[in-house]
Amino acid sequence: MKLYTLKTCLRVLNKFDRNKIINTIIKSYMNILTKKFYTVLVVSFICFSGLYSQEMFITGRITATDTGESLPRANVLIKGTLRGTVSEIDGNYKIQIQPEDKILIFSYLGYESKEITIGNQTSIDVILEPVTTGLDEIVVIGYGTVRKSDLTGSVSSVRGKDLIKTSSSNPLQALQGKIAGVQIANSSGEPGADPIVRVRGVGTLNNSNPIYVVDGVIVDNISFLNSSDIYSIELLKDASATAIYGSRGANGVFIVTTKQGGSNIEPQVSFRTELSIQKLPKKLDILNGREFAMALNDINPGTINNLDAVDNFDWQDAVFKNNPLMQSYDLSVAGGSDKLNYYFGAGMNDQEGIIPKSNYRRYSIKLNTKYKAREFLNIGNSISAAYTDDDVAPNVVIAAYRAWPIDLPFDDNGDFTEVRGTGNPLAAIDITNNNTKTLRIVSNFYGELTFLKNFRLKTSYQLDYRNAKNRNFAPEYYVSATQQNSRNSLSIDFTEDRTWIWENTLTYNNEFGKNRLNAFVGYTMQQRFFESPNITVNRLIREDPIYWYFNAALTDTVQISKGLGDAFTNSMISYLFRTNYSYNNKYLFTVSLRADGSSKFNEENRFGYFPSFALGWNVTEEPFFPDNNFINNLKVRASWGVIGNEKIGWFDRFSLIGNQYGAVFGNPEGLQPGATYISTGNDDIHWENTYQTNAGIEFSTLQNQLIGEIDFYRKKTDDILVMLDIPGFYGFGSFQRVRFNAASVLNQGLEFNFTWKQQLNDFSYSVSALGATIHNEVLSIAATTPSDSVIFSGELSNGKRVTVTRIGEPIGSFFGYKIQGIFQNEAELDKYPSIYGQKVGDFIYKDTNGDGVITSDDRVILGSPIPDLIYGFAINLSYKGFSLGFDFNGQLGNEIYNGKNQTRFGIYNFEDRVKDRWQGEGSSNTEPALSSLAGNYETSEYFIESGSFFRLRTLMLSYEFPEKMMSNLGLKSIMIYFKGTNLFTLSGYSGYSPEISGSPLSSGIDQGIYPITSYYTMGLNVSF
Amino acid sequence: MKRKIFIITIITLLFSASCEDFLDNPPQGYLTTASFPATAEDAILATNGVYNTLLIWNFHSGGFPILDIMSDEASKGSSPGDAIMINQFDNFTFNSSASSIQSWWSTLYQGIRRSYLVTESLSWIEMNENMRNRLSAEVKFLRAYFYFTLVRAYGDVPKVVSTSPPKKLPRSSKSEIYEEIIIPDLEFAMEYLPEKSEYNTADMGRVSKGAARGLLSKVYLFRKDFINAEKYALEVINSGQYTLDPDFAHVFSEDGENGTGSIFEIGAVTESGILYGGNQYANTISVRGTPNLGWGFGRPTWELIQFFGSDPRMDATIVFIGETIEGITVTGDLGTPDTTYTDETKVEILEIECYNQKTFMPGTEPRYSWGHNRRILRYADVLLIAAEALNENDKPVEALTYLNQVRERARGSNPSVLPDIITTNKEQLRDIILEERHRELALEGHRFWDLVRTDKAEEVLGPLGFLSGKNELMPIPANEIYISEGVIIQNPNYL
Repeated sequence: MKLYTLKTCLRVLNKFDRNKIINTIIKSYMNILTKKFYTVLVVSFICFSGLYSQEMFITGRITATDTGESLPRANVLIKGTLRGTVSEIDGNYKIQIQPEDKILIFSYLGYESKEITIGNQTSIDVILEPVTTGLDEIVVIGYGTVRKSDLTGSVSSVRGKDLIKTSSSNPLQALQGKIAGVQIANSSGEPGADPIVRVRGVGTLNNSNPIYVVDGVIVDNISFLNSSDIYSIELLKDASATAIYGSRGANGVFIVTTKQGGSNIEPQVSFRTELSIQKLPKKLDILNGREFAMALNDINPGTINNLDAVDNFDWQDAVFKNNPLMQSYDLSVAGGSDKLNYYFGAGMNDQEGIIPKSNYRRYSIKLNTKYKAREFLNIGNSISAAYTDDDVAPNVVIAAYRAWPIDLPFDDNGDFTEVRGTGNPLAAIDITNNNTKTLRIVSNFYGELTFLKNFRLKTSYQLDYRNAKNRNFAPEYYVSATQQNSRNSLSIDFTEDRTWIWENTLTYNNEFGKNRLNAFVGYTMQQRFFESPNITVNRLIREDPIYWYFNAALTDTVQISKGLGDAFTNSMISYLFRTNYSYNNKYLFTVSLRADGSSKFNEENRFGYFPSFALGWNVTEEPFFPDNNFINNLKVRASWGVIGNEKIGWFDRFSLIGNQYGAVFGNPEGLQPGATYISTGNDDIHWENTYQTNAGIEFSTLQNQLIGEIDFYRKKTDDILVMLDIPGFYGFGSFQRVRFNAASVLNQGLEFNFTWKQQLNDFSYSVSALGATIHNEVLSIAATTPSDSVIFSGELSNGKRVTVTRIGEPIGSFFGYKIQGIFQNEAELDKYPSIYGQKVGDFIYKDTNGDGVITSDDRVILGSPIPDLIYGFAINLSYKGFSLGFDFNGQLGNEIYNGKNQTRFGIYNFEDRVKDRWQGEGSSNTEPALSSLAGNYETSEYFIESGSFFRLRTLMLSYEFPEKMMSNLGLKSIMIYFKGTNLFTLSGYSGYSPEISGSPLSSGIDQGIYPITSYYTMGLNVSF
Repeated sequence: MKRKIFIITIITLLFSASCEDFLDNPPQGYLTTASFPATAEDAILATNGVYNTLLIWNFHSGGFPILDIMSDEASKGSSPGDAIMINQFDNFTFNSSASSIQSWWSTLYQGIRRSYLVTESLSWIEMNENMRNRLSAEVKFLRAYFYFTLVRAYGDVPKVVSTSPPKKLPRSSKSEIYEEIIIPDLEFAMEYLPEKSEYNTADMGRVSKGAARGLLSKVYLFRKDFINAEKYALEVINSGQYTLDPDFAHVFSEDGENGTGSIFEIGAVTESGILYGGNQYANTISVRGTPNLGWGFGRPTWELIQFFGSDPRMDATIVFIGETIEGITVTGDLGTPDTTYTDETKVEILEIECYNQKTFMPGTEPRYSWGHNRRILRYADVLLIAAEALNENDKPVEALTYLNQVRERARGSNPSVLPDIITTNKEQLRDIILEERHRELALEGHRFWDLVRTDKAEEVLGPLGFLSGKNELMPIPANEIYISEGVIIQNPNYL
């Protein structure tokens, strides 16, 4: 506050009840750091209002981005003065200004203040964004919202503006390193690929994917959403937060809220475009032509006589494209009238893959509207539609890894040549024609009735519809004996997958005295229908796509096979209940219960009940808490609850008969249909239950500059539905398994999240760090079922299984032989036990049980794919219009199994570690000789590598042009930015990327992943 | 008031909408055991479902030709580094956790369970009586064949007699399995199955009376019941249903499928995938590399090549590198050495790159070998069974008739080889017949069991690692032992 304004004010105040007002003002200024600050401004304003009656006015409306609703009693202040006003109940305001007034400041408790240049405008509508760390921030929870200060559960939020920092077509990828306790692994760099997401460890041996709730609709992924349309994503982690999703909450729940319009605001148009260049961050170190020729000579002496005459071809350079592009364009319009508000977004994303023929295009539309039909009745909808056109990549990563570098791709005529290893990778690309087109629509239509002041009745009908068509054409070709196809074929698969949900909730909301109570009950019905018919046509008489639909069945050279594929229907009925109660803002209490009935279980086991309880205590609200400014806020909370997982096949309880079990008879021979058992079900299966306990502490200190949150979680899943071996004499077939509720797994750990923010005049910065530890342990398997208590999985393409899941170890631990050295001479070969065919120069596998022979019993645990710590940290700097941000993430303590190196059906190119190979006594005790391919490719610690990494996930530099310049142009804002994604990664892993994931039992095995690329991006945001 | 009633009505409606059967979603596109088989048509489908077992990869000794590999006829094959765990069958170091041991066992029992799915419902399904008996007989033949394979491989085995066996079942003695299942089932099959010639063309390849007789003679031979072996072998011979194809090579050709000497073979069509009627058996074994017909497991041994000597059957039994068969030149696999020596001096040959020609299908792509019909029981086998049984029954002259029929055909157009055998010395003749089986039936999965049943296994296979008193049988799969919690006992000398 400038002194002269204060003086002026005081002079003016002479006319009125001077003492009283002066007292008020002085008292208020004493409290200037407190929340009462704005009240003072209001009071101050009132005293000015009579003085400038003949001046001009500015009117407008203040709304909130998160709720889309108007903000009553929001403050409007003229910058550099004490003059201001507050908005009416409908968010409208009217303020008188002087010619010299330049800027209005809009503020509201819990929201970021906004400064707007007045210019020539007489009407200014403002949308305020919530403060991300404020205590009165509204947090979206299941089926409702709650004030952050009232929250008893563990919930993390990420705002939309953080989602567009990462160059990716999938919004989930931007969450990497942004939320404590979640692991997001980009297991494939293929454009459009979904990352694998694990919340608080791996809680089941089945599908461990979380669920996503997009504007109230429960879906399995959010790849259909455009990041620009997302307002916020919250992750519900503990039982108190997730139990309301009952049988679907055990693996975590992401609540995605998309952007809304506002009431009585002019249309606001935003346009964003980005252009990225992608690069392969690293190449694999494999042998070059000469080195490979030397290796060949080691394997079969004399194969290559003149090492100087061999060719050298870099297959990685050949299969990966240079600088593939990614571009995206988004346009959105948001606005509203008295009764109607709307948000409309349209986006286009076009990404070229780093492997040819793996391009991905997505066109998306988002429409959210809300209509106030009556004073007591709102109706609205939220519709997302996305059309994706996805070229499915040919699998040439492994081909480029295996191809012999001494072979060239083309002969002198430019025809493909035989490439030893696994065939000519460039030919493999050439013959691939595989494309999937998908239309997905996720919509929610609702009506909301308010009655008796405190009650709200909401009914909504939701639809998740996906229609996909995959078309795969294999032409006739001949490259070599092992790479040929004498019969072309076209297959088309159709998928329709639709789920509807009818959801009815009744909410009661009231404050009386110091009590605040929110209670709700709900009832939902849900049904999913899936079908996937397919057709395959062989021997098309023309290969040109325009003839693919030529009615080929009429010619005798064509074979057609049709299948009706799969079809199923699943349904679910749920009853929901939750109460949040808080007393005097100090004591918080939440209880919830959901009952889910699913058609996946028989009538007796059909319903599962999922309760939760939670307590919270805002310690700083206590009178005894010292009222100093050191600790600004301190809350402790604890929760316990039961949640379920029903992500198992619809058929697991049935013993099915299939009709694809024919036999061949006749002359000429033909397939006659047959039918018999497909699978054996277990009608006794019931729900998996996860018992989760959470204790957390939240604090802010040093004038709210440092805020932090620490949570301890313990998640124990019982009755895990697991496929177990059953005795072979039952006749279910080899390696057929039956599902039992028969395992128990523990995940526990600590999550932390700290942010430091400071404003120094025009310069501000923030530093934040977050992380989570995971202790994953199998507590029991098959204690009561007729089965083995060990599950081997992680099958490589050569049939070797490299993981074990057994009691006392993490799920899917790597399992194999230890290596004790290399047989240096015949004497050692005689001295130590060996496996069949081993020679001098081969690994000495460790006889761990000391029985004098190497058997499968000598295998031991070699590592775990589950990290001990997942972390992220970010630094953001801003000065005037400039801002610069760094986001880092990483993980520690997990291992990767280099399966691609172990899987060798013949002689392939080698990783360059073989350059240090054993070539005579004493030459190496770690790298075996190449002469014997047989003895060194058992599952062993040789293929285990560290999976720890540290990555600069994003670096973003942006500049926002000054508002003055913008208003002259008639624009609201222009921002340009440059960003880099995956710029560098520190990792000991030899593969393309250390982010290797998979299903719970077979995770962390690299069998040749599509490389993750680095992105160099330029972007522009314009809004008006 | 009106509004209150309105709201209450709405709430009631919204929270009570539900139908009784909303949560009952029966499977779509599948039948369940509750509803199948129910009709005569179902019975045929379910019977074909039992035959389908014969196309399962693991049905063929757990996928890999381990019976040939365990014999002196074949080694692991493929390229040196591929599937090295199969080497343990070549040197008899396998134990009860080998995956082939488990999958072979499980698949045989899978066939047995499928067979009971048919026989348990045949009794009440309304259908033509002749058809009911034929289907029952087909299924019982197959069940007997599955059990016969089980007892030969594993010895005493759990006796499963329904689709839902008890949770724990101990092993029953071999003789119980023979006497209560295999023999009665084959006798039933013999009574009710039509002769091969009585099937119409579309059903060619279904099991026949001759197949049941032939299998029964083989069962008795394995049990050293030479009287019955002779009886049923002669019934086959005297049925007039079968003759030896004059051209040995033609027997295994594509054109020779279901030929005059074929008693039981597994029909397959040239498609990659069991779903389409393909059988991966030959694909596992056939030429690796060029032509790209398969993986090349079960490589004919150098000893086998030596043993054939000038026998013309070698040419139709073994594919050599450089050979051209039906217009296709074989150059083999780049990752497999053409010749492997026993040591670095490179004097003594261990093996050469070569493949089983009995599974060779003319073609250049894997799917061709999926169309190979695996020959399970050939007329030549029955002739040799007859010869062996007659010799044991002290009828050497009759034995020679059948033995020399086989040699004569083998001789083909070359009169200078394989002269007729004239000795009537029982011991000599016994050895000669066994050697004849070795050459005639090489690489068809018979040799190992021939050595075991004639007590020659230790003598012949001992140098390879065969241990008498142990390796006559496979171990019971580790998982069966473990899960049974002591009810199932392991075979002697296996861990």
